[in-house]
Amino acid sequence: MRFKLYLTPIISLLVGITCAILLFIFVSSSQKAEQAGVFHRQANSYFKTIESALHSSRGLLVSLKSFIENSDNLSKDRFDKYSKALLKDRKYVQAMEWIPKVSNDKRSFYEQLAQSQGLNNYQIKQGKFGNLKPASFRPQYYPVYYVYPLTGNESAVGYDLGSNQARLSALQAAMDTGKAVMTAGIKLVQETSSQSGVLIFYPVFKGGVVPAAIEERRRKLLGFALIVLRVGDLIDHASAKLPQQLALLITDKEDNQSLYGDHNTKINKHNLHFQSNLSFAQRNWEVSVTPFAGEGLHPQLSAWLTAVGALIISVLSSLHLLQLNRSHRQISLEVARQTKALRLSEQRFSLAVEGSSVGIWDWIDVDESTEYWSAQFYHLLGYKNLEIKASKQNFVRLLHPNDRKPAAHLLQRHLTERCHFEIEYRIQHKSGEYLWFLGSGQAAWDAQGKPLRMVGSIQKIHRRKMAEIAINRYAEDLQRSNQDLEQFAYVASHDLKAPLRGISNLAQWIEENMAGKMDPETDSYMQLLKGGISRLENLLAGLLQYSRAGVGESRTESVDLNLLTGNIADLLCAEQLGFVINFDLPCIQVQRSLINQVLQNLINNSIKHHLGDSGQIDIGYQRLASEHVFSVTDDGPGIDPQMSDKVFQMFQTLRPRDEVEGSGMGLAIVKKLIERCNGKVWIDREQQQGCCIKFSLPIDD
Amino acid sequence: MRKEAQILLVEDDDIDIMGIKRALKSLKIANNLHIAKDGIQALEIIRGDNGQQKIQGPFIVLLDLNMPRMGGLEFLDVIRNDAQLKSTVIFVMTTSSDEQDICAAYSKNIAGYIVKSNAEESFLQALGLLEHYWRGIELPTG
Repeated sequence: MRFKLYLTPIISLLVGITCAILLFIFVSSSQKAEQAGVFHRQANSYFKTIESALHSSRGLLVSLKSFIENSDNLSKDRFDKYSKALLKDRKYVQAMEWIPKVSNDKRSFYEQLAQSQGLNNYQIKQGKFGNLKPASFRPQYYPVYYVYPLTGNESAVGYDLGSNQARLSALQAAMDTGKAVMTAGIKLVQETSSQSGVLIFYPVFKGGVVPAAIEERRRKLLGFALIVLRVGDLIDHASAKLPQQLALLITDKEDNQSLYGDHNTKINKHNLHFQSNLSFAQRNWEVSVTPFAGEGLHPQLSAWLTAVGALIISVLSSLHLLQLNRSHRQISLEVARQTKALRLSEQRFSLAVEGSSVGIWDWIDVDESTEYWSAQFYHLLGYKNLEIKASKQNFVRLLHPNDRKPAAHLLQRHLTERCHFEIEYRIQHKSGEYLWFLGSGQAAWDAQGKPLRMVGSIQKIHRRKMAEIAINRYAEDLQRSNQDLEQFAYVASHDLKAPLRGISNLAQWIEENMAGKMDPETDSYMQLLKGGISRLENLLAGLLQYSRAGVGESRTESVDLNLLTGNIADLLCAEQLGFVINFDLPCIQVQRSLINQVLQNLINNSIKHHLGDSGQIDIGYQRLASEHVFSVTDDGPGIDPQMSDKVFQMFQTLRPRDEVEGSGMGLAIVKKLIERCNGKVWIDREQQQGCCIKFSLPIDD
Repeated sequence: MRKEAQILLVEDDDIDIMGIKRALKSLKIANNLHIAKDGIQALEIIRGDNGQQKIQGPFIVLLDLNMPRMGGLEFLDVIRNDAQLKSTVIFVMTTSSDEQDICAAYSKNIAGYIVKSNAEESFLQALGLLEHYWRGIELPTG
């Protein structure tokens, strides 16, 4: 793993280094080729320049020769004039000279002629320069006769070139070939520096034409036109306009004499070198050109920069690769970790599915019918796993016909409006029976809100649902029965009232008509009749009141209980009857008519059933977390614990009718009123003396 | 003054009719008394339809609520929707202070109500009111 991490970066680095080296070689070699090309072009132009300088010098010489040929009785003045015009400022030309062939017999004529033209003491001489002596006898002389410019060349005047073997052989070669001949490099008489000079002779023949045969040439030879060149100045002048970074060497090939250049210049052997032969005026020069030391072929900065750049890039890319490898490794680890987590999660899910009592369905693609049903799903419907195809189509087929439409509707709303999908429906068991299930599901949507997939479950709720249905039916029955009862109570009390009133009226009218005429016995019957009517009226009134108790408004409002209780006490004439009612109550949110009716009934009961002439009634209140608790306590005879359940029933009175006027409905009405709004009423048995009735009402905020 | 006004008692219960008669007698009210057993008969008497003799001169109606064929509330509806009879003075008789009935009747603009079980007293009160009515419609006095 570790090795792998570094392998590719190292390979990349090696490839990068190789590339850098190759690049360096390529760049430097192409640079070298370019430099070599430049060098050869430059060297070649040096060569051409030198050649053309020599040719132009010969041109001068040819002009001079033609001038001499065409001049009879050439005077020094004319020679000087012409030469001056030719030379202009060609400084490398040391001199232009006329060398006549002078036979011994004409020696003195020439010497006198020269002297007559201003060359004082002109003599044909020989010997060493600086120490010339009159020439010894020879059949022919080749003296330097006319010289231009004279200045600087005085010592050469009169010098017999034939007296010097090297010069003489050049002269003879020129004479015999009829062409220009150049001497080897010589130390010029006039020369002050160390440079070599060369002489070029051009033979001048009688008639201006070069005779065909050598004998005739020797005979007809008049003399030689001569041009003296300073090789160094010639080359410097010619190459003045050329690049100066090249070292030039010129060697005379015949005597291996150096004509130009420093032959000690170091020549790098593997470096550039140009060499070529220059044939001119029957002489061969070897021209060789090299770059000066330090110049020439070296890998240049750009090649180094290229190589270093490539190296840096390859190092950087290797480092980058290393970094990539590292992050790749981290990603791989992360993927492995998440894969493991996913596997665990999947395992957890499948265990949950297998172990669950609910059946799982997975509608994998909502555009298709195919689904996945878990084994438990099949089991719940009485099928073996995969016994029927898991599809939406099959599921709808199994649904109870009456449940298909609501289920489809809810599904549609879930998919489009994303409302909660939970529904109770009947699905057909394999046995044919329809069982109740709780179906729920959850879809997944894409970014555009298109439903993709939906997963859900079915849970068997058949037993619960059947019980619920039964309970609902009972509750409905009960409610209907209660309503019937109330309706009956109302109708009975109401309809019984009319004939009773008739009876009451008739009894009253009989009494009025018979006033004073009835015997005591009849009168007592009449009183009993009236008493019975009155009791029946009370019962009917109570029954009516009971049946209508709590009907109507159930809105709560803020009620000042002190004020309300005070009003009740006044209404019942408690004070006049000798009763003290103690209360210190708050202001609470409650149904006004309800609390009024309840308290009135209870206080009325306490007063009505009290045996003494005076009494005390305490109204208490306690606020608990979720309910108001009231108590009404009196100091009367109390209620026999054995009878405490009975007192809340209808028409129950605990004392003979004759003693206390009561319908027996008071506590029954109280109970009904309180229970209607989910309160409770009970007798507090801890009360030792008297009676304490408590009731609670839920707090309504 | 009371001689002129006639009384139309709309009531089906014989004992109640007797009670009203007793009350009128004890109050020494001897105005002409017409009796209708239900709303339909009462309308016939008022309009003189169906062979009934039409009631002549000013009259007041004492109306029971619970009757066969046409009850008191239905009768009130008919009267209030009849342009000629709209201003008829009507007292509703009730067996108790039955709130629903009273409220329903009042919403139809009745002159007052009489509680049957206490007919004499409430009748006196009603007559007190009635005097204002008669004055209001400019009946002859004396």
